[in-house]
Amino acid sequence: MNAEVIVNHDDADLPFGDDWDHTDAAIRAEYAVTTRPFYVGSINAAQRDVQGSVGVELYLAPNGAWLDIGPFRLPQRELLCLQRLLGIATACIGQRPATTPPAPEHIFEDITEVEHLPAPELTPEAGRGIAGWDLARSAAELSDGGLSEGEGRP
Amino acid sequence: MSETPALFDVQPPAAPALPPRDCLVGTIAAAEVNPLDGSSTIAPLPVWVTADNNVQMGDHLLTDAAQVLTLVSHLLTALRIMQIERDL
Repeated sequence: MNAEVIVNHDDADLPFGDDWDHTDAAIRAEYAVTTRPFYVGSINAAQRDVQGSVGVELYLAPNGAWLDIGPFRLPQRELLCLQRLLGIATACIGQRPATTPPAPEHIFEDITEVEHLPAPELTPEAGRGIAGWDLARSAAELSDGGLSEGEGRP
Repeated sequence: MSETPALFDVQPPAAPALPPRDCLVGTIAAAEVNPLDGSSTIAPLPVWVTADNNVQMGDHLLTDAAQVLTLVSHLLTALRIMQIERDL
Protein backbone atom coordinates (compact mmCIF):
# COMPACT_ATOMS: atom_id res chain seq x y z
CA MET A 1 0.00 0.00 0.00
CA ASN A 2 1.24 3.48 -0.80
CA ALA A 3 2.41 5.26 2.36
CA GLU A 4 1.46 8.69 1.06
CA VAL A 5 -2.15 7.67 0.75
CA ILE A 6 -2.17 6.56 4.38
CA VAL A 7 -0.63 9.85 5.53
CA ASN A 8 -3.12 12.00 3.65
CA HIS A 9 -6.11 9.92 4.54
CA ASP A 10 -7.31 12.20 7.35
CA ASP A 11 -6.98 15.30 5.23
CA ALA A 12 -8.98 13.71 2.47
CA ASP A 13 -11.92 13.05 4.81
CA LEU A 14 -11.98 16.56 6.23
CA PRO A 15 -13.41 19.18 3.91
CA PHE A 16 -10.84 21.82 4.72
CA GLY A 17 -7.83 19.85 5.82
CA ASP A 18 -5.70 20.61 8.82
CA ASP A 19 -4.56 24.00 7.60
CA TRP A 20 -8.04 25.49 7.75
CA ASP A 21 -7.99 28.95 9.26
CA HIS A 22 -10.86 28.93 11.76
CA THR A 23 -10.65 32.65 12.49
CA ASP A 24 -10.80 33.60 8.85
CA ALA A 25 -13.68 31.20 8.28
CA ALA A 26 -15.61 32.68 11.19
CA ILE A 27 -15.09 36.19 9.86
CA ARG A 28 -16.19 35.12 6.41
CA ALA A 29 -19.27 33.37 7.81
CA GLU A 30 -20.27 36.43 9.81
CA TYR A 31 -19.72 38.64 6.78
CA ALA A 32 -21.86 36.33 4.67
CA VAL A 33 -24.66 36.40 7.24
CA THR A 34 -24.62 40.17 7.60
CA THR A 35 -24.44 40.87 3.86
CA ARG A 36 -26.78 38.19 2.60
CA PRO A 37 -30.33 39.34 1.77
CA PHE A 38 -32.94 38.25 4.25
CA TYR A 39 -35.59 35.86 2.92
CA VAL A 40 -39.01 37.27 3.72
CA GLY A 41 -41.28 34.85 1.90
CA SER A 42 -42.58 33.78 -1.45
CA ILE A 43 -45.80 33.75 -3.43
CA ASN A 44 -47.05 31.70 -6.33
CA ALA A 45 -47.93 33.51 -9.51
CA ALA A 46 -48.55 32.80 -13.15
CA GLN A 47 -46.39 34.29 -15.82
CA ARG A 48 -46.83 34.86 -19.53
CA ASP A 49 -45.35 32.20 -21.76
CA VAL A 50 -44.66 30.03 -18.72
CA GLN A 51 -46.80 26.99 -18.09
CA GLY A 52 -47.85 26.43 -14.52
CA SER A 53 -47.06 28.69 -11.62
CA VAL A 54 -43.79 30.34 -10.79
CA GLY A 55 -42.51 31.16 -7.36
CA VAL A 56 -41.74 34.80 -6.67
CA GLU A 57 -39.38 35.17 -3.73
CA LEU A 58 -38.99 38.25 -1.60
CA TYR A 59 -35.60 39.20 -0.19
CA LEU A 60 -34.91 42.11 2.11
CA ALA A 61 -31.61 43.94 2.07
CA PRO A 62 -29.49 43.38 5.19
CA ASN A 63 -29.57 47.10 5.93
CA GLY A 64 -33.28 47.35 5.11
CA ALA A 65 -32.71 49.64 2.16
CA TRP A 66 -34.64 47.69 -0.43
CA LEU A 67 -36.80 44.65 -1.04
CA ASP A 68 -36.41 42.33 -4.00
CA ILE A 69 -39.68 40.96 -5.40
CA GLY A 70 -38.57 38.52 -8.03
CA PRO A 71 -36.38 40.50 -10.39
CA PHE A 72 -37.67 43.86 -9.18
CA ARG A 73 -35.92 45.90 -6.52
CA LEU A 74 -38.02 48.39 -4.61
CA PRO A 75 -36.88 51.02 -2.13
CA GLN A 76 -38.92 51.61 0.99
CA ARG A 77 -40.93 54.50 -0.46
CA GLU A 78 -42.05 52.48 -3.47
CA LEU A 79 -42.69 49.48 -1.26
CA LEU A 80 -45.13 51.51 0.77
CA CYS A 81 -46.78 52.64 -2.45
CA LEU A 82 -47.05 49.05 -3.68
CA GLN A 83 -48.58 47.96 -0.43
CA ARG A 84 -51.27 50.63 -0.78
CA LEU A 85 -51.91 49.70 -4.40
CA LEU A 86 -52.31 46.06 -3.48
CA GLY A 87 -54.74 47.11 -0.78
CA ILE A 88 -56.82 48.85 -3.44
CA ALA A 89 -56.50 45.84 -5.72
CA THR A 90 -57.66 43.43 -3.03
CA ALA A 91 -60.60 45.68 -2.32
CA CYS A 92 -61.44 45.64 -6.04
CA ILE A 93 -61.49 41.88 -6.23
CA GLY A 94 -63.54 41.67 -3.06
CA GLN A 95 -60.98 40.04 -0.84
CA ARG A 96 -60.50 42.69 1.77
CA PRO A 97 -58.58 41.53 4.78
CA ALA A 98 -60.40 41.72 8.07
CA THR A 99 -59.70 45.01 9.82
CA THR A 100 -61.83 44.36 12.86
CA PRO A 101 -61.79 41.43 15.23
CA PRO A 102 -64.69 39.01 15.05
CA ALA A 103 -67.74 39.99 17.04
CA PRO A 104 -68.00 38.36 20.47
CA GLU A 105 -70.64 35.76 21.08
CA HIS A 106 -74.02 37.10 22.12
CA ILE A 107 -74.50 37.03 25.86
CA PHE A 108 -78.08 36.46 26.86
CA GLU A 109 -79.21 38.66 29.70
CA ASP A 110 -82.65 37.13 30.00
CA ILE A 111 -83.39 33.41 30.06
CA THR A 112 -86.52 33.99 27.97
CA GLU A 113 -84.30 34.95 25.04
CA VAL A 114 -82.86 31.48 25.08
CA GLU A 115 -86.27 29.85 25.20
CA HIS A 116 -87.34 31.58 22.01
CA LEU A 117 -84.32 30.46 20.08
CA PRO A 118 -84.96 27.98 17.27
CA ALA A 119 -84.11 24.41 18.09
CA PRO A 120 -80.65 23.41 16.98
CA GLU A 121 -80.42 21.18 13.99
CA LEU A 122 -79.85 17.66 15.21
CA THR A 123 -77.31 15.43 13.61
CA PRO A 124 -78.07 11.74 13.22
CA GLU A 125 -75.68 11.01 16.07
CA ALA A 126 -77.27 13.50 18.44
CA GLY A 127 -79.18 12.23 21.41
CA ARG A 128 -78.21 8.62 21.03
CA GLY A 129 -76.14 8.66 24.16
CA ILE A 130 -73.59 6.10 25.04
CA ALA A 131 -75.95 3.18 24.36
CA GLY A 132 -76.69 4.33 20.85
CA TRP A 133 -73.05 4.99 20.28
CA ASP A 134 -72.25 1.48 21.38
CA LEU A 135 -74.91 -0.02 19.17
CA ALA A 136 -73.73 2.00 16.22
CA ARG A 137 -70.35 0.40 16.32
CA SER A 138 -70.19 -2.52 14.03
CA ALA A 139 -69.17 -5.91 15.20
CA ALA A 140 -66.26 -5.83 12.82
CA GLU A 141 -65.04 -2.62 14.35
CA LEU A 142 -65.25 -4.04 17.82
CA SER A 143 -63.56 -7.27 16.86
CA ASP A 144 -60.86 -5.34 15.08
CA GLY A 145 -59.75 -3.02 17.81
CA GLY A 146 -61.92 -3.92 20.73
CA LEU A 147 -62.70 -1.42 23.42
CA SER A 148 -60.15 1.22 24.15
CA GLU A 149 -59.11 2.22 27.59
CA GLY A 150 -61.95 3.88 29.44
CA GLU A 151 -64.62 2.79 26.95
CA GLY A 152 -65.95 -0.15 28.89
CA ARG A 153 -69.11 -0.01 30.92
CA PRO A 154 -68.77 0.12 34.68
CA MET B 1 -103.26 75.71 -24.38
CA SER B 2 -101.61 73.28 -22.08
CA GLU B 3 -99.18 70.77 -23.39
CA THR B 4 -100.09 67.16 -22.83
CA PRO B 5 -97.29 64.82 -21.96
CA ALA B 6 -96.33 62.49 -24.68
CA LEU B 7 -97.58 59.02 -24.03
CA PHE B 8 -94.88 57.30 -25.87
CA ASP B 9 -91.55 58.93 -25.41
CA VAL B 10 -89.15 57.53 -27.86
CA GLN B 11 -85.97 56.79 -26.03
CA PRO B 12 -82.76 56.03 -27.81
CA PRO B 13 -81.81 52.40 -27.44
CA ALA B 14 -79.59 51.78 -24.50
CA ALA B 15 -75.99 51.22 -25.40
CA PRO B 16 -74.86 47.68 -24.79
CA ALA B 17 -72.90 47.25 -21.62
CA LEU B 18 -69.19 47.39 -22.17
CA PRO B 19 -67.35 44.21 -21.42
CA PRO B 20 -65.24 44.36 -18.27
CA ARG B 21 -61.76 45.56 -18.93
CA ASP B 22 -58.50 45.47 -17.07
CA CYS B 23 -58.02 48.39 -14.72
CA LEU B 24 -54.66 49.93 -14.02
CA VAL B 25 -54.45 50.66 -10.31
CA GLY B 26 -51.07 52.34 -10.38
CA THR B 27 -47.45 52.08 -11.36
CA ILE B 28 -44.44 51.62 -9.11
CA ALA B 29 -41.03 53.01 -9.98
CA ALA B 30 -38.94 49.89 -9.49
CA ALA B 31 -35.58 48.74 -10.74
CA GLU B 32 -34.87 45.45 -12.44
CA VAL B 33 -31.71 43.78 -11.25
CA ASN B 34 -29.56 41.69 -13.51
CA PRO B 35 -28.60 38.66 -11.43
CA LEU B 36 -25.45 38.09 -13.45
CA ASP B 37 -23.64 41.34 -12.84
CA GLY B 38 -25.89 43.03 -10.28
CA SER B 39 -26.58 46.00 -12.51
CA SER B 40 -30.01 47.57 -12.29
CA THR B 41 -32.18 49.30 -14.83
CA ILE B 42 -35.27 51.38 -14.22
CA ALA B 43 -38.35 49.25 -14.79
CA PRO B 44 -41.83 50.57 -14.01
CA LEU B 45 -43.98 47.99 -12.30
CA PRO B 46 -47.67 48.41 -13.17
CA VAL B 47 -50.35 46.89 -10.98
CA TRP B 48 -53.56 45.88 -12.75
CA VAL B 49 -56.85 44.43 -11.66
CA THR B 50 -57.83 42.26 -14.58
CA ALA B 51 -61.32 41.77 -15.92
CA ASP B 52 -61.54 38.31 -14.39
CA ASN B 53 -60.69 39.56 -10.89
CA ASN B 54 -57.01 38.76 -10.88
CA VAL B 55 -54.17 41.03 -9.91
CA GLN B 56 -51.35 41.47 -12.39
CA MET B 57 -48.09 42.92 -11.18
CA GLY B 58 -45.70 43.36 -14.04
CA ASP B 59 -45.53 40.02 -15.81
CA HIS B 60 -46.74 38.13 -12.79
CA LEU B 61 -50.40 37.30 -12.60
CA LEU B 62 -51.80 36.54 -9.16
CA THR B 63 -54.83 34.39 -9.84
CA ASP B 64 -55.42 33.46 -6.23
CA ALA B 65 -56.66 36.17 -3.91
CA ALA B 66 -54.92 34.43 -1.03
CA GLN B 67 -51.61 35.01 -2.79
CA VAL B 68 -52.34 38.73 -2.99
CA LEU B 69 -53.02 38.81 0.72
CA THR B 70 -49.87 36.80 1.34
CA LEU B 71 -47.90 39.32 -0.68
CA VAL B 72 -49.43 42.17 1.31
CA SER B 73 -48.47 40.45 4.55
CA HIS B 74 -44.91 39.96 3.30
CA LEU B 75 -44.74 43.64 2.38
CA LEU B 76 -45.97 44.60 5.83
CA THR B 77 -43.31 42.39 7.37
CA ALA B 78 -40.59 43.96 5.27
CA LEU B 79 -41.81 47.47 6.01
CA ARG B 80 -41.87 46.75 9.71
CA ILE B 81 -38.32 45.38 9.63
CA MET B 82 -37.21 48.45 7.66
CA GLN B 83 -38.78 50.68 10.28
CA ILE B 84 -37.08 48.78 13.09
CA GLU B 85 -33.70 49.03 11.39
CA ARG B 86 -34.20 52.74 10.81
CA ASP B 87 -35.07 53.29 14.45
CA LEU B 88 -32.00 51.42 15.68
